[in-house]
Amino acid sequence: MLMFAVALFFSLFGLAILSIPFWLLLTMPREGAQAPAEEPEGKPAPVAVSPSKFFADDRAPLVPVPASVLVSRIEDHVRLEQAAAKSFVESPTALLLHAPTASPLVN
Amino acid sequence: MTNAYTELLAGLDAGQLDGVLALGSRRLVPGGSELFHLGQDAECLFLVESGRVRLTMPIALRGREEQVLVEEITVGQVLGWSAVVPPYRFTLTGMAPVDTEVLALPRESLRKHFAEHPDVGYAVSQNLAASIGRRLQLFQAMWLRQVQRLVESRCA
Repeated sequence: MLMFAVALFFSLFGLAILSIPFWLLLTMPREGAQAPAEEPEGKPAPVAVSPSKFFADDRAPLVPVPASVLVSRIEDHVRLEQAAAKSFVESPTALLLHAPTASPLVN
Repeated sequence: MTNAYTELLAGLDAGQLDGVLALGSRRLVPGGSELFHLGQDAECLFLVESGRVRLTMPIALRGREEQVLVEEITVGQVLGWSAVVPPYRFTLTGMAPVDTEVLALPRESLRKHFAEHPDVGYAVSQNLAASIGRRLQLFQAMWLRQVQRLVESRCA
């Protein structure tokens, strides 16, 4: 009986010794970590930015093109298309009818 | 014959040409202003003597109406066929990007003149038909090119 009590004592003592490092790890602040600064009242908290994901579109958001620039591009496209169509009318072949142009609207 | 009238009045002799030109009146269109607007009654056929006229149609861009170039008419070309084709209303807007001079030929004056001079009427009608035909072919080709692209993008 005494031997059993001694064995139990040493087992519990060993468990207590082993648990000390775990306890220290959980309670001590991490190196380099800073306490969160108190936000000024009224200022919204920063929105967490999700990390880049595989297959996610990481391109910068498209900046809307001004309408005048768009109109100018359309007009350039019309001119190029007219020139291509004129080539076809002057010498009608299926190849010329569908000849590509350098128009950025279709390329 | 001056270069300004080659498209509509080709083939007319000097006397016939003078007869037609006498029907018209010159109009100066300051740069940036409209010669006619889509939907207006079309009373006159125009010959461009100097400058140029942009023919535009409205297109909706981001909820706003923008005028987009369809064709540019330069010296020697005719515009405003709507004046001789029912229902006599402009289907495009004509705007002069620079100071432009046109000869305006009223439909009713042309009709009377052609009735009195059928040979002139025939020659002018032939020229006008050729001009309209050329532009129809051009726009047919442009339309088909667009259809081809549509088919490639949607059905390929």
